[in-house]
Amino acid sequence: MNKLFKLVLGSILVSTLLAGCSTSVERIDAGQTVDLSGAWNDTDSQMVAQEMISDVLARPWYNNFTAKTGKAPAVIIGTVRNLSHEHINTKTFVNEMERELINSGRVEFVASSDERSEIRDERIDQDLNSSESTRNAAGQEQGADFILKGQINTIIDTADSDQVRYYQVDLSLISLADNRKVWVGQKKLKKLVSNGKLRY
Amino acid sequence: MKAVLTFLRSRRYLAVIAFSLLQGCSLQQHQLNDLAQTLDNGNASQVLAEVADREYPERDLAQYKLTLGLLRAVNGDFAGGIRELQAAKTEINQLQALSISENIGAVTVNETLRSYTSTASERMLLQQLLILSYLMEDVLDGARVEVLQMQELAKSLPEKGLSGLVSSSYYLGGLVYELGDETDNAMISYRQAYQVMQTSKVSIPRVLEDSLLLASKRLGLRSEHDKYVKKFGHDVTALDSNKSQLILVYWGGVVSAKQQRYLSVYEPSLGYNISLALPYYAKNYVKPTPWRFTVLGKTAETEIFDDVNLLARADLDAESAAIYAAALARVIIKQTALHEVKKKDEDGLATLLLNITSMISEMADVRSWNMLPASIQVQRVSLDAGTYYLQQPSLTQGLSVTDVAPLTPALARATASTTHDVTESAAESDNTFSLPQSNTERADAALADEQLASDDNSDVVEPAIHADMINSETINSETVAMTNITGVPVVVSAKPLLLKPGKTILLFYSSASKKAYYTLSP
Repeated sequence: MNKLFKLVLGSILVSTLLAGCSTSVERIDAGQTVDLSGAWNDTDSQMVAQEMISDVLARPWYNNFTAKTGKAPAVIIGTVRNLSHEHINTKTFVNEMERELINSGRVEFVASSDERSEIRDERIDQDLNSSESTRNAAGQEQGADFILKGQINTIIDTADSDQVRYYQVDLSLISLADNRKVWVGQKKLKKLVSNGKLRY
Repeated sequence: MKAVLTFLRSRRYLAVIAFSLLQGCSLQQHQLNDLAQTLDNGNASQVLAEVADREYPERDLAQYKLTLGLLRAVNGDFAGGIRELQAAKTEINQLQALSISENIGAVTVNETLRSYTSTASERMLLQQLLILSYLMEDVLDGARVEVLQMQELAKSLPEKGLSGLVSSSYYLGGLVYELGDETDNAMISYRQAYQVMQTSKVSIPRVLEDSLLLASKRLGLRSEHDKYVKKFGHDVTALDSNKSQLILVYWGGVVSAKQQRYLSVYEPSLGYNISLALPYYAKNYVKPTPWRFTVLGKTAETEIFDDVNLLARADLDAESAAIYAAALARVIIKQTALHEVKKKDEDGLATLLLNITSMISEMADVRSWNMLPASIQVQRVSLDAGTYYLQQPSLTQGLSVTDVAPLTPALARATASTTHDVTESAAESDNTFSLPQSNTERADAALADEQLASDDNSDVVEPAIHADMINSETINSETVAMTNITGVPVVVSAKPLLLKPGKTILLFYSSASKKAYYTLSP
């Protein structure tokens, strides 16, 4: 009986240890907030992009422009510089903003400079290889009316194992016609990250 | 026979096996230290192949990633280096919390049971290597992130001693800001580098003096600028916008490895040994000397920013109190265990075995980022815009610190511009890095053509210079391997380097691989 008890106890112990070492995968909703390290993550990216874009579309510059020109503004997203303490993939943030702007249906969107060069190459290729009826001519691109630029900054305050991470995202919409800043948006995030002082 | 059977039944042999395994880990560490010392011969690619195939205990993950990251970077794989170094940083950050089990292991068995968490200087040098790697990958914002992280890290450095005082990391931080046209931030970093050097009581390199003078002048900080002029005894003129700059970062030699000081004394009255092992660095080491290189036929020298051997010793000093405390606790615990076993041990075998295992298990933690350079040196040279070749005259002679000719008094204060009192042609020198003189007129004409023909961003990879315009005497088979902006190593002979006015070329040379890599400012 004693041996059996030891065997069972040993098995439980080994199983528990092995379970602790194995990889586990759980599917979660893409919108669910999961904070692991306290660093900038997908939730922050989505949240800031949504709030900034809804803000930019609600401001007077939009109505002023449509009233003056009678058309929806064409916007291009420029550089969003990462000046923070973390390696933030600004491309996902930019893509998020692009999606929000396009899906709003209120602005027209122009391809970025990287995308444009690829499209121009394709057009050159079409010029050589496509039939006349399907060929797209050069020089017909739509120019943007506004460029959206910005930067992500951080301030970190650390004491022992606690850290306050302050993120500030600044975006500005600049008129390409006359360099006027027609909108300046700012979104702030503050996180308190407490790291464990002990580990096994 | 009976004693042997009793021994086997008692399963004490398991303890012996366990301790033998521990001894194996220690041997592995000593082998890694020996391997690191071979980097002095410039065989970083061989060492990388060996290290990549090695197995390592989980607790040495950070050390392994640091080593692998460094080796990948000095071999020109900067993207791979960044990957490994970031993994090392993540691991180090996770290990900052105090481990209960590892502390128990350290005070009962030995210090090598702790996970490797790196020293303060190593963490600062990790940041520096990441800064350099991002710059070489042409990712200025990435390098800037690492500078900010380094500045955060600096806040947690020990308040006393030289541990973590890596002036070159601050200087490179200033350079990153300078490349991004952030003179105000650059000024802060240069000030930090200056403060670190003052604390370390080392002579301030002329390169740093000039950077402080230039930045303070540019920012209009008149009283601070005047203070520096008075202190350094000279002033600088603003950079000529028609000129280009070459900034050379030199990682020379290999830092010395930690060694073990082992003491085991048989105490007859007790009937067993008292053993103690502590890590130490050899008191004497080769002091760094400036590294010569040739620019347009004239010799210049790098200036020493950091003596990494000195920093490694300072790190060990900073940790010594904790190491001694753990060692003392270990001696007491082991002796208490031996004393208790001896009281009940009739045939003396158990005491003997425990005594042996106690002696074997006692070992010092000699782990370190042992493939770091012995010194970090920098120089800045102002160049006319034009076409250049980066050339290494002799790979067989090598470019390690040990090959550098001793300093002559006339060269003791190398300046940011090339010295004119020593002239040495690139073709004649055999242990220098050189920029042979190009045909200036042709280069200027090519430059003008290039400026007309292309936009600002297309100048680096394919300069508009035809092969027949290049002085063939400057091309030989022993050229330095470099990377272009895509990060793919390129042999220099095939790619002349076109320097436009106002451009900065950052050159990173490691004696561990005897290869130089460059990147151009955006």
